[in-house]
Amino acid sequence: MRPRTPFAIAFALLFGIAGRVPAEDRTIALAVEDAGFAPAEIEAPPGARVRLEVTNRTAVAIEFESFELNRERVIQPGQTAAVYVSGLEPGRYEFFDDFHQQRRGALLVR
Amino acid sequence: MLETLLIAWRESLEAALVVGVLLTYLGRSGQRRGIAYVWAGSLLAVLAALACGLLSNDVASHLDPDLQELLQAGILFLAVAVLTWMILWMHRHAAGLGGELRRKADQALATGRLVGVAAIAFVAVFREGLETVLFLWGVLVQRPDLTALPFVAAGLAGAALAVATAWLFFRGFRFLSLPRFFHVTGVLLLLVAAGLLVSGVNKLIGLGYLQPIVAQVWSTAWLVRDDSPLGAFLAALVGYRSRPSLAEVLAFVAYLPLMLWALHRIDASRPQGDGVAARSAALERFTA
Repeated sequence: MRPRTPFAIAFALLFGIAGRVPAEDRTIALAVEDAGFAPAEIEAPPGARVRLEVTNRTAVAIEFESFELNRERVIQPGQTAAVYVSGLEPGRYEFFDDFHQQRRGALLVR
Repeated sequence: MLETLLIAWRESLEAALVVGVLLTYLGRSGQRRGIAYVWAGSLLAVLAALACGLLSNDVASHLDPDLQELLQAGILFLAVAVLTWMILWMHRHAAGLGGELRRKADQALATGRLVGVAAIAFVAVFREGLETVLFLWGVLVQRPDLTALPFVAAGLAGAALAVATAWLFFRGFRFLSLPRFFHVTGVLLLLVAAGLLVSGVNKLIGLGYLQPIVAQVWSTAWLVRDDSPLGAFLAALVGYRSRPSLAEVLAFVAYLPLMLWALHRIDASRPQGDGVAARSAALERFTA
């Protein structure tokens, strides 16, 4: 085997298993405003595949971040970014704006 | 203001550590030209990040944010490929190192490899630099008078602190003997590459192109929180996250044994005559 072959096989496997992506179960719009996230709490059923559409309605860049959801995205003013989360167990998953940490919100999975 | 400092520290840390490991490795193996290329790549990245950050409100709004993110993931995978290639040729080269290490300085790296080294530094600094610029630019815009200045100063101090953190960390490496040094930095480079790979996979999952397979395999948040200094340090160095998905764990776990196998093959495929030289070099390193 050439040195590259096992790499190719490993990543083909990874993308093969992880690449079959179903359509999202629901889309949730989430705005970042000067006062904070609107709405500050959103909800999804357990195990669902959710597309968060995060819009930055402030005048400067924000970073949507969540350690509990394992996601981070820098979003420019006026832009909307899609952030997918899926297969979550019931619970409360907090997120925040890393650039302005007083802005906080949570995804309730129940 | 402390918060500004901490955010800037965290945003700059990954760039400082990646550049730090490159400089440390090249410095100890006497590759002066390589060092110059790393600095050139870093400097170019700082300028590019400043330019993009300041223009971004005009330029970026014309580019779909999800496309930007996909582009970032692609650049990460490219960086992993270049870093992998670099680790492999460094390992191949390491057999010739040993006693004659210093004398061989400055002639061993071909231009293509130098550009590769510069490219890794560029990607690391540009990625994090852009975020730092956007963050600090936001701080400046929100307070359009002189009250913004202390905050921007705190941000710059945070970036400087990140450089200091990396410097302190790699300073400790000076106390390692030469063979142990190459061993430790080699393993560190592998972990850095695996960390970048995981970041790329994380982006593809967030964009909905990949499935996490299992959303959260485990949580080590009780041990090392993501927002603790140690968590930030490990995240910057090896892509630590407290709640990884199975796809990310698989990518990390698949990369390391594959690389160890590739490195082993390089050792095994050395020609006989070279083998003698390698053995004597190894002996020399062992006794050094």
